Amino acid sequence: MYRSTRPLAAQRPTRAFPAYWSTRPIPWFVAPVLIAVAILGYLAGHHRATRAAEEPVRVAYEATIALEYPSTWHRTGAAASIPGLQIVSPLLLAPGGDSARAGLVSGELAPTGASPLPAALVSLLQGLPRTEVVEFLGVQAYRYSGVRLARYNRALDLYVLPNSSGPATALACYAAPQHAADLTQCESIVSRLTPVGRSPYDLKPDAAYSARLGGVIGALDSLRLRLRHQMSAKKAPATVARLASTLVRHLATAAASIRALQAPASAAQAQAALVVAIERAGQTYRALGAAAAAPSVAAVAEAQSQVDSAEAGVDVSLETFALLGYKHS
Amino acid sequence: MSTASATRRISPRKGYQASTRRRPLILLAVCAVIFAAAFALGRGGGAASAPREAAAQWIVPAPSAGGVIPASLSSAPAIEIEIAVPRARPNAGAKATAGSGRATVGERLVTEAPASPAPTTVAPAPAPQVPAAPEQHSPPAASSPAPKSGSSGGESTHATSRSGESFETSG
Repeated sequence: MYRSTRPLAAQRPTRAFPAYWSTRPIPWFVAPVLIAVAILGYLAGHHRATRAAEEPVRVAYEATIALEYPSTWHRTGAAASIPGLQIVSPLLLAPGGDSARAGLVSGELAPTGASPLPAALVSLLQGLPRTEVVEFLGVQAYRYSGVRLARYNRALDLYVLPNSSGPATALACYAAPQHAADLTQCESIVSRLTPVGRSPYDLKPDAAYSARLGGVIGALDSLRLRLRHQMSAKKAPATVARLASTLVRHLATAAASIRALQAPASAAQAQAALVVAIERAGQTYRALGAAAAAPSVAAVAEAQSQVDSAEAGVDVSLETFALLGYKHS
Repeated sequence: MSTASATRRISPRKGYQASTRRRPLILLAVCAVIFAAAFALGRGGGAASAPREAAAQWIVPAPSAGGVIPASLSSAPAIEIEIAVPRARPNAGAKATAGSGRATVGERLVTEAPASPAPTTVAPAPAPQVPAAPEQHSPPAASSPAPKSGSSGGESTHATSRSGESFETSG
């Protein structure tokens, strides 16, 4: 049998390089040079992008805020009408001065009660907006994005800076549907807002408070639902009167439990409003029970109408917590 | 093409010389490509990340734990109460309900008296609905007209001689 006498290494097939392929090793400095070139290229690109973003800015002062805005935006006098949003002496900025296309309206809000947003605007809301707490140089504010209002087809984001010692400041970014990029630019302007003469105000939702309040409301709602089921199906007046009386007791207990909760400062007004709304609901159920016990057709109808109205009031109070940034179902 | 010329052209020696000459050019080309790629990366990354960074910096993180507060009370079924209205006296009752046939409270229709002779049992009366307030539940559908009863049927055909009426309301 034939056996090769050549060493094994020599038997391995040699790779055929093209004739022009140099087998000379690459000089040591090539790799660092390439890395340096890559770094330089990245830095040059980044610097150029940053410079493009940093256009010359102008500054607009409103009573309690200062706004830096790009030179492509202009102050305009034409008031942009946002349903339900009444801003006192508004400052309006618009890209190219065209407030019909997009804009930023800012100014002071009339007192809004427990909710950060005016009641007129809340009544027009089509679904609850996404609520976040944002911070401007240490001063916190609510940000409502994706606000949808009845009879208003523009994209709308709202910002509210509550003030413990005066009227809240509101900013509204709006844009026509085909100018969504302007909304992003408006957000960029708002993000550089400088609050003037405002003390820090903690708006962050309190997780422990949220858990306690959510528990009370959840328990009350399930009891109410059970009793309301029992009140349906043509019940006798005496039965309805008895069930209404039970519900009155549960509502009173829930109101007392909520009143006993230690609310964070940002939710204190909302809590007080919720207690009042639940107590009012209790009063209307008491009236319903009395009317059913009488029984009086007119009185029952009137009491029932008041129950509906009172429960709608409870719903509005609960919505307020969602607008304060609390997680909602 | 002769074999000799072909051999000359792919001569390893000449190929090596060409490669040596091209090396700086190749290096320059590679440098240019790397610079362009890095420039594009830097520009795109810088422009895209700027707003996101800004947004991330100014949003205060919400607490991850904590309960959920219902945004509204659950939708509850309508309250239905059946009330038997005492038989009205012929004279007084005729005056009280004459010309109306229904009693409406606010926007809500409460009852409609059937113009039938002397119904005596408590039964749902036909109650055409009126639009309720938006936040209110709409009342349930009206039930059938009150049946006549033999207890007083035929005693009178007067509209006010009915002995009872019922109503349904909703909540």
